[in-house]
Amino acid sequence: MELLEEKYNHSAERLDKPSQYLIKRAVRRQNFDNLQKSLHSKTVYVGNLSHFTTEEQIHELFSKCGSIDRIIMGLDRNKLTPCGFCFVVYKLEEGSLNAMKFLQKTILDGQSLSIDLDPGFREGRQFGRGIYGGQASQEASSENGQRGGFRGRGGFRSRGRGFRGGR
Amino acid sequence: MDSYNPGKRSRDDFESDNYAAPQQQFEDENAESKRQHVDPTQELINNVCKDIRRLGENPNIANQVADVSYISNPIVAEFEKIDNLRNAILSTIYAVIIEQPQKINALSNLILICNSKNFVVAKYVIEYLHAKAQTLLDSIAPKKEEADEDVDEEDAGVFNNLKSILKFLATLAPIIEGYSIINIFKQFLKLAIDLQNETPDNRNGTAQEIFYNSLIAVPYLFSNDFSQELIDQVNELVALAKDFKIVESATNTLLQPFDSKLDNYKLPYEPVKMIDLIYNAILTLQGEEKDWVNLKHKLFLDFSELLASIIEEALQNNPISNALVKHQLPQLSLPTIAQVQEYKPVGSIDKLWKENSRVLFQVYNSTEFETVPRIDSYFGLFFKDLSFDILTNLSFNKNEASIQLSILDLFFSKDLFAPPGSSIDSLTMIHEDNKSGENVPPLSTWKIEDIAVESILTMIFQLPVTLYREIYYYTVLISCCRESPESIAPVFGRAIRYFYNNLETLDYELKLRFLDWMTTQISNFEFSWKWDEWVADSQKFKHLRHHPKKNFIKNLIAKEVRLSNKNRIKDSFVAVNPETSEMVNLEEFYQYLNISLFEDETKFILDYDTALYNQEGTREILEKIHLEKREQLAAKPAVFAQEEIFFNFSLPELPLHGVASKVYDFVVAHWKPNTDFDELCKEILEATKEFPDINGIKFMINLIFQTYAYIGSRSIYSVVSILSRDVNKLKYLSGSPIEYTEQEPKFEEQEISPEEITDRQNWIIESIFRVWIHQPQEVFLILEYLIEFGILKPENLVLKTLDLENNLILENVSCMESMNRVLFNSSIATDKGDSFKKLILLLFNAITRNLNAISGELQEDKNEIIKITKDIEDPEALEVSKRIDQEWLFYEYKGLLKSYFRRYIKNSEIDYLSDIREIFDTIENVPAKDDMLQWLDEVSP
Repeated sequence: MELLEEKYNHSAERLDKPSQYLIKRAVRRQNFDNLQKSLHSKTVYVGNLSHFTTEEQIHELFSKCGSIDRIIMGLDRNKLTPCGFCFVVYKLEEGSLNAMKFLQKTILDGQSLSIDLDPGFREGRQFGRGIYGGQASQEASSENGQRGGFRGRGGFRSRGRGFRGGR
Repeated sequence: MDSYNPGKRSRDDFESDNYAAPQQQFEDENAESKRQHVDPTQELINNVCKDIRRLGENPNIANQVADVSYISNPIVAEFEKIDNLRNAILSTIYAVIIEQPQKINALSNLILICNSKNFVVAKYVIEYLHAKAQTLLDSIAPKKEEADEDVDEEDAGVFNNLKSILKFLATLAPIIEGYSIINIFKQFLKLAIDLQNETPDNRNGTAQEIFYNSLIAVPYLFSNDFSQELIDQVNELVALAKDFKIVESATNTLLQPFDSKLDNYKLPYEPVKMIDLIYNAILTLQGEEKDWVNLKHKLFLDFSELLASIIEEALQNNPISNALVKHQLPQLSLPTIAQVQEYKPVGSIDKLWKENSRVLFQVYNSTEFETVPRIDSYFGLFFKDLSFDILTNLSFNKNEASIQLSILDLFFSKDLFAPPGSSIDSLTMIHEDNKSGENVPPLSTWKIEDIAVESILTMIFQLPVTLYREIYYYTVLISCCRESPESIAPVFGRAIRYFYNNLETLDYELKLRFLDWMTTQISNFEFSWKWDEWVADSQKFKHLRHHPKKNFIKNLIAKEVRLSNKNRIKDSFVAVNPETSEMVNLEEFYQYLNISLFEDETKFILDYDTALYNQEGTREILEKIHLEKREQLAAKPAVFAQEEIFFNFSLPELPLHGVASKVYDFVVAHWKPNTDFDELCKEILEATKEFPDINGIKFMINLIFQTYAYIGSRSIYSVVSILSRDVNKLKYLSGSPIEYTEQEPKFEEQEISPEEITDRQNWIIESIFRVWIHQPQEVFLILEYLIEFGILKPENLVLKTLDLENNLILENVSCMESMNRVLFNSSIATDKGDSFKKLILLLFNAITRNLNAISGELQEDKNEIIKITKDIEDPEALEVSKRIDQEWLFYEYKGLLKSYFRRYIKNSEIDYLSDIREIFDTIENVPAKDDMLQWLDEVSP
């Protein structure tokens, strides 16, 4: 897989590539289509949002990386309220790569954002996949007392290990 | 030799200070997962390349050199045998040279040591870089078929990259045969001189860049060699540089970060151009005796003793040759003068040089002693140059860029800087001791944090445009701050105060960038700021709307609210009472939490709706409805933006509520054909006929557009999706040309005059103003989409924002930002034709008209400079305030015009100059006119 090969043409890691989560999942499933798609995607997945963060706030921050086509808020499957993630679809590929490079770990509403390239939004993915309808990773972290208490919120350390909603 | 400086932090100290940087975590995770599968060769390659990338990051230079010697072993052993290893090493070396040029000296240690162990490594490296340089030069005159190749937008440009290669090759002087590296320097200097001489009266930016780059690289020649022979050769080189002719336009006000407002204010400093400084800086470094004693051991770390012993030992043990092997470095084949003249740089820094005189930006020059090296000294230029390169070439990893900038001191002479994180107080003490002679020799007061932050701010405040999106630089600053908050936060505080204190003169566009940066910065640190510092100003400028400081405070808070919410921002307005140590709420700022588009929201809504219905008695009904809704909202613990919308049309108390409900049902339902919409419009118009005082079309437009906005109010993208569903219907209302799809039923042809179209479009704009008055960013986002869909013409919105009653473009930050996007989108529209030029001329005409109206109202002598009243004796005096406001309004419009001139007229491919001159000639205030005509002289070839 060309994507996984190190090319030694930079003096540091590029931040605008898919996360280990996507790569590991692709390797595990031996299916690299999504990974390939995410490389040229105009969409980013944004996780670890506060449940009260609005589309407008996300627009305000993410439009600094390029013109936005639309934002799809991740919703609790049952309550249809925001549940901590969203997809930002840019008009150009440049926008999503910029978001990866520049906005990773930026604080919005007191939360450190986790951003990943996304193979593209499909209807249905806006809903949380946790047992209770919310985002699975957040539900998991609040069920597990130890983890939930860590950093006071489903912080980024649990990222990549938990089962993320919406994807 | 005292090689270890305990004051310096290594990269690892840096990362362990806080939580592991994400980058680090990522790499470790990566390494762990790879270790299971990776074959030993691959692992060796990975490790060697990682070591090369980290060269020079060890603060103990004895250990550093020992490490380098250790790293060199596998390289010299396997370099010739494993092709992949060799290729990976060569590309990594090149990447480090270009992306992290601060490591050039450390990298050259590696090559010097390798050369003594196995000269083939050095030979390869030198040949590889020579070939790279040649490829870069060849790309200047691309062959036709190559012209369309993918361009790398992250690239800093051919000549900027050549500079770093030149620096590196210069450090290898001791192993290059016959100092032939000097010839390459001469080649470039001659090219610069000839290129500029080709057009003796016009500035050639590329020539300036080549000249600057060659000279900034010259001192690297002395990195590892200080022989008299080399000194003589370099002196010859410097003598050659004397022949370069600096050609510049008489003034460069367009690119200056500060504007004196026609000498109403003193500039914080006289801006200087890089090109004017470099030659003299080199002469000073060379010294009167031309012995370069000002450079020796003062800038580059002195590795000579450590290296000498390793190299000697290696040569003794070298089975092939015990003598130092030197390598050939042939001259480069340069492009012709004509080819360089034709060169259209893609790379960002090359482009900056070509199109603009480069003016240096200064922030930390207000203390009694230097916290950054003097801007006109070689050291000052040197660190700026490195920082710009790191920032530009490492943009794909903001974390790495911030780490490297924060530890920049590590790579250079250890006494050059004060210990990292030194406070201004401790530096003041050092300065006092230096003055009193207690410190012999005097200790440095330079702060590495100041250099790093000033360089990043220079890039944020780069005119005419930043090289990358501003957010990149903001987040590098945020990363710096997260790495070491205690030492960086005060550095930011000083910068923010400096800009705030100079807001009166700060360039108009830079004020917007300052707003944007500060909002992003503090939003990442819980919005904390020493707000108490600004209370007095807010009170003093109480009745002023256009004073830059008042405007800044208001719009900063508005932008914060947009990124967060009113309650959170309200909670940030606190200060500690120094006497009681209690927290005090700063109620002064609560007024700014209302971010409404117009000052008195309620009055605006009531006036607007009353005029729309134009019926006796409706005002009272509207007031009652309004009051009830306000009470309802006040009772709620939390209010969403969409709940705050006053949408009344379908209330039974109001006339025409029946037809209003039909409109609501129409919009909320699924898509319906044009014929249904046509019928609906007819029904509305028919219904309005019952009320002869109502303007039917205006009412219909308000009803329909407000309904769309209201129904979509759950989120911006809901409104966008319903608007995009019904584009042609809305175009029919706005009088815009409609493009039908094949089977779409057509509307009847309407006969409407251009004036009627303008009226209709203005009503549309006003209706959106009305419905989202409390959230200006929503207003402008919706209007921008209406323009994108072709429902509105940008001209109408632009004129609306410039109306002198409200001056929205100056007063409201959402409007300012929106207009910049509207203009930008129009400028890149593919089918723009002449329409963009028309839009720009309309904009310039309108602003000019405003300037004349304001100067007329101020009734100044036309030949006199409009004076800005600075002493505000009584902030409550309304008449005086009104006048001062007009004075500011004049200069703010002038500043706005300047920013548009710089963005759209300077360096434009469209020829505007004669039209713009005609417009500027109509300016009535003579000093202002003369000043603006000067802008034209600056851009005229």
